[in-house]
Amino acid sequence: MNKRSAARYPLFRLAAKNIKTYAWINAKLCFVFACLTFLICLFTGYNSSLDNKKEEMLENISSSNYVIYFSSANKPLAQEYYDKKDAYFPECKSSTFKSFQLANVIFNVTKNKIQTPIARYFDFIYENEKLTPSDSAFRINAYSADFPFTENDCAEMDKRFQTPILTGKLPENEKEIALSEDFLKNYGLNAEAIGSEIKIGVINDKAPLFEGKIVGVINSGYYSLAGHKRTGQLRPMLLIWEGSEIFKKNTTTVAFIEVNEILTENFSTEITSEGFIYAGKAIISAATTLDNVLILANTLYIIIGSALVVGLILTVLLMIGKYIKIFSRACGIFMTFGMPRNKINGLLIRQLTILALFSVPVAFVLTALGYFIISKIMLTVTGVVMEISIFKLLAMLAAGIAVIAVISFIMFLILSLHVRKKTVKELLVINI
Amino acid sequence: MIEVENVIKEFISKKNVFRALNGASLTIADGEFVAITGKSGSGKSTLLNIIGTLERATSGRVCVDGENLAELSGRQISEYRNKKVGFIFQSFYLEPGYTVFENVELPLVLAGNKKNNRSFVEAALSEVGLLSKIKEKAVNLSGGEQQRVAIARAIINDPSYILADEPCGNLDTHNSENIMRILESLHRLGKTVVMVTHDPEDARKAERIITLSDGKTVSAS
Repeated sequence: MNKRSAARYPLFRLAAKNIKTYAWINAKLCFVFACLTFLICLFTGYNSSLDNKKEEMLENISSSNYVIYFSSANKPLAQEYYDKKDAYFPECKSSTFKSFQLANVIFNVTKNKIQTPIARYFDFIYENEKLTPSDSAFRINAYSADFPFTENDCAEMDKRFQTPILTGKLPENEKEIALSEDFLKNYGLNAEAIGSEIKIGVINDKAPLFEGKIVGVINSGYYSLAGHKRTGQLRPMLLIWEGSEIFKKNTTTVAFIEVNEILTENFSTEITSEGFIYAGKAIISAATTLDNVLILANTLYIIIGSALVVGLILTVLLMIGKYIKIFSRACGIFMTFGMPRNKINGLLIRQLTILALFSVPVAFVLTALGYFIISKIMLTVTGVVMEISIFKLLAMLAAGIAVIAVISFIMFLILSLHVRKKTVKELLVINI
Repeated sequence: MIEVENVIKEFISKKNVFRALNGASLTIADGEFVAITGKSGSGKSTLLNIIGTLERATSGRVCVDGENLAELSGRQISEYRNKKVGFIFQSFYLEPGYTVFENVELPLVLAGNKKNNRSFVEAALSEVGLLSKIKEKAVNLSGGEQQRVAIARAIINDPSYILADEPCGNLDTHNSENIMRILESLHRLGKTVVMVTHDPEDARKAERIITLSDGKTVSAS
């Protein structure tokens, strides 16, 4: 017998021929590979943007529901806006501005040509779990009142802010309030108001924010301390805007302080390293709506993605058995007519590599097409705009290609082990 | 020459051990046309598969041209299957998606041949009378034509031995006669033809009939 074997084995040719012969099932496998890449891109490469929705909502929110906050970092900008507020916001006579930040949502107002997001207004900066006064914060005729929660909060606030009681005492229950000196002054009051009953509320809200007795005057222009409530959560500062009408009130008794309808009990708060964030009812409502839209969009996203995953799994389950049979039978025939068994793995590697390589451009096309279709669905159903960062997408495609390689390897192991266990005759008689 | 000496083949499943061959022995000289007959389950196909190295004997000795098949390496076995023997099966085992040309060419491709493949294939197909179908898909041919393509594939590398396992099992009388005529012509060309059959008519066309029963050779005439 001639012991020399063929110098170069035609594995690539056989692999290509196999793929061509069973093009349909190989195309399915290729498609599965590509879809896996697309799924990765779907869940990680696209971002939902609410910018267009925000624009729409801004149009619907009235001016009285806006507040503007300037952080100390933006003081030059804040000064400029304040100086030109009449020009920028002619309809806002109460020193309100149409720009705000709510949690992590930044609204870019374009109606009055403000392009930059304006940040927050803080009486105090909350950094490293410490509140410190921000004397560079720009204040627009505003006063704030703290509503601390723990029994020690009054003393703690006093200690932190170094604002001793001038007259009277700090509040000891929910029905007592210590008002700041400037606050009283602006309302035509002084320390003689101690012992008076006071109600603090907002226009059109029936329930007052605070109702109780003035028990002290605090040496601070910025805040008042009301009686505490136990909720285990640090409440935000209550910002009360002052309008010109207020000065016309009876200075001996303060019933409701008329303020712009910008504040309610339902604050949206987030204590960040930069301080507190405020929001009004309409803003919260807008934000809630946007949140709901985002939730809907994300839910829809997940539904689409899950449907694809389920479809892929079913496809794989339906075709994998047949694919194994086809490949095994082909190996049986090849080995019957002289292919060495140790060439099977080489054949398989080449076959799967060709398929994986074909999958890559298919994955690119699927990702682009998928983005186009899904973004249309999203926009139509939820109004959410989907965005792609090109760099992120390329990174995800690269990750998807890695996934294709891993799946190919798993397929290789399955097929290789399946063929290895069987004799040539057993492979030959596989019925496909 | 093919020498089979006391070959035992056991198939082991979870529940039991089935002995398909129970000490079969025979000798086939070069250039013979031998028919191996016997009832179903007598071990005929198993013996042929062992001679063709599609199965391995559990024990015993099978020598072809003086070489013990059990001692061959994987590569040697592949060469043996590619160049020394040509297989013909009852179910043809053609690649349905390949054309006639591609099916017949397969052993040449596996042998590493690239040149002159077309002329070899055409010669083999002429031998079996199917040159006109060279471009057809194998799946589109009739049973008799597919078996003839299988024969062309079996002889493409000019093997010394033709191993045919029930070549007419799935064919009608007319096609069976065609196949038998081809096998007889191959025999006349000097090839050793070993045919497994349960059809006495087909068996009578061989020079010698070897009968197996319960995995053993019971007669050789």
